Amino acid sequence: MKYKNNIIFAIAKSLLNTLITLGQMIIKIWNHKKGRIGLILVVMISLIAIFAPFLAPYDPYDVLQRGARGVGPSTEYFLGTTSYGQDIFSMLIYGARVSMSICIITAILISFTGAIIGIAAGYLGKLPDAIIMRVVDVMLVIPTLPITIVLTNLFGKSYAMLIFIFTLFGWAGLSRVVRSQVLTIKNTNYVKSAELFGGGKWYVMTKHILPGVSNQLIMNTAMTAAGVMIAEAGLSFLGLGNTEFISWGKMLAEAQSSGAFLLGYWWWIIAPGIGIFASVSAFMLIGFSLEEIFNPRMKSSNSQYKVLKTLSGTYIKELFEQMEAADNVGGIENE
Amino acid sequence: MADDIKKAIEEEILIEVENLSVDFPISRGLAWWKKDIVSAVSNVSLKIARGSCVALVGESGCGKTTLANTLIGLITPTGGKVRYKDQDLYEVSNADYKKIRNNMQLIFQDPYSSLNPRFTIKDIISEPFRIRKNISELEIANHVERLLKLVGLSVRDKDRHIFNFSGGQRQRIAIARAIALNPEFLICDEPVSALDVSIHAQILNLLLDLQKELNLTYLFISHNLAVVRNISTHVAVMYLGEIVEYGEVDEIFNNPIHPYTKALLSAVKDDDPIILEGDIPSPINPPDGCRFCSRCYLKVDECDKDHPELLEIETDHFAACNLIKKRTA
Ligand SMILES: Nc1ncnc2c1ncn2[C@@H]1O[C@H](COP(=O)(O)OP(=O)(O)OP(=O)(O)O)[C@@H](O)[C@H]1O
Ligand SMILES: [Mg+2]
Repeated sequence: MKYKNNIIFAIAKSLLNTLITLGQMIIKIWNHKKGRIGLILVVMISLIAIFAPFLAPYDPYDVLQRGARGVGPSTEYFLGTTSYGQDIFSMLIYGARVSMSICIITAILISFTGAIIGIAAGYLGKLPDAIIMRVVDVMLVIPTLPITIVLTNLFGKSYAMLIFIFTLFGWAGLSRVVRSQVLTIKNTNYVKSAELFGGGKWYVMTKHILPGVSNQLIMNTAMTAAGVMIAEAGLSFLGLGNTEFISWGKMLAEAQSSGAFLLGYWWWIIAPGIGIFASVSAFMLIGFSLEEIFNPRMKSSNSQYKVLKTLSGTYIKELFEQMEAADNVGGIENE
Repeated sequence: MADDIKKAIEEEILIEVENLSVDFPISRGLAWWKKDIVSAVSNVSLKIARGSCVALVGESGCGKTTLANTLIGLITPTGGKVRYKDQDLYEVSNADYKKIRNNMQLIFQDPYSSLNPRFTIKDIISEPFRIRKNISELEIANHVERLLKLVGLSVRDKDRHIFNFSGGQRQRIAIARAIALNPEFLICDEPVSALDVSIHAQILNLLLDLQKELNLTYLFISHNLAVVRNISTHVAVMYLGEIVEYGEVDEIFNNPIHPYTKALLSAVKDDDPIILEGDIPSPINPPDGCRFCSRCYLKVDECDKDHPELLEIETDHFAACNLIKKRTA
């Protein structure tokens, strides 16, 4: 009985701890300038996606009931209509559902599979590691598009298929990063100490290694979400996306295939574009802010610019040094 | 009579190391099929009596950490035996091995990498108890308090993370964790070498106090002979993976036999020090003869070929040197 209580207590405690760390992380992101913008955007888009039926003025799938086709933005149709007579504003709102849910689900799935496989490779070492890393190598160089075409042809184009494809091609890179982190942690003396006390593989994995790689994972999840958003748009644009629901990528694809560019229906193109742009930048902002939170050394107004700056800085310095050296050589010759 | 019994108990051998060797195969460059052998520990034999403190002294890279890690079971040796109270560590059943292992602990060289930076003090010190399971939170809390007091830290600090602590405090935390399960044998791998000199004495005194209080037996690794003199009962001098001299601490300090020990001591005593030429050679594919011969100031021709054995020169005083062997023969 006592033991049972202990288990419940332990589970409750770990749940609470996870919640607390999540909460702390959200507060940290909120306190970060870039992160706050990203957080607000993600929450807003997610709310729009959740409450789509209440927000959308029309049924986005409703093609036949209205006579308005290819109408520009007006008070009746905020963002105009498609050439089939669908209300674009409603489509945009409903599209958030598919686009956002695919992003978030896939990002989480990729993080989980990448983490588990990376940890397994790093911690088990030897043969399992060798096998997994060869598979990763193959996954990283495999041409994704032809295989996507084959898979969608074989199993149909659907929402679930998209998630499967993205996860299939997404985990390898992450698992490689995670593996190298695991190798670092595995060789620390605190892990050796835990092993000296009889801590088994499972103990070390859950208590030392997982918490050690969690930062990287959370950051990676945000970045992956942004990547998936773009990939989804790309695949839909190529006609490989899901056939069931409206998504932003599919809106773009339809606009293109119905000749929105030729007909001058710019609103049909701009609307999903804004949706994609806003959500991609939101996830990226969160990712960047997490990067700066976890690596305080990178803290600066803009880490990406800084990398560029230092790169070009050293390059220019080298250039000057070379010029100086050339000058010196010239000087000696002159004397 | 009582004295005899006491002496017998004191001389109970706790750890016995027999011809222990550790080789690391390493591949050089692209030729992966050609393996070089790093002979990190070679043919080491050592007896550690209960209640004693054996100091293991030697230059950086001579294999002290490797020997310690092998004794404690982190590294599998290439050859040799380790006995704990007459039980062979590599032959006992798993259950027995676990029991033995609970009686041995290690304090790592560097208190900055031996404590998980994500853990609080309480997490770190309670880790041994949690791994053992079936112990209640209340008991763990009691143990943590007891241990913190024992190593001279404030109980109020138990929820703080270790990045708030200085090196000396970290080493105290590491010590608290090491003694958590009441081990009999504690290996201290240069416990102060990563710390500020001003803190050395505190930590060493703590270790001495704990030894008395908890009846500990130490293997104390150090490259500083001055430290060793105050804390140990026996000294083993190590050079390039081998023990070249072993004896009681006063014997070693007053009557060193091996040229290497003499050189080390003269550097401490500082009257006309013997200066060894060159650096410690690489342990990759070491020479057949005496391993010290490349730096020895008393070298004779046969040192290049003859490998000296560790011999008992005087009672309880061992040395491995061709010159001494000749003298006694
Ligand atoms: N895993 C390993 N693989 C290959 N060589 C190793 C390995 N571990 C140790 N060595 C080598 O074995 C030798 C002994 O190393 P060890 O760490 O035991 O020395 P040490 O006496 O503890 O030195 P220090 O005083 O610097 O801590 C060194 O030459 C080292 O390079
Ligand atoms: Mg060492």
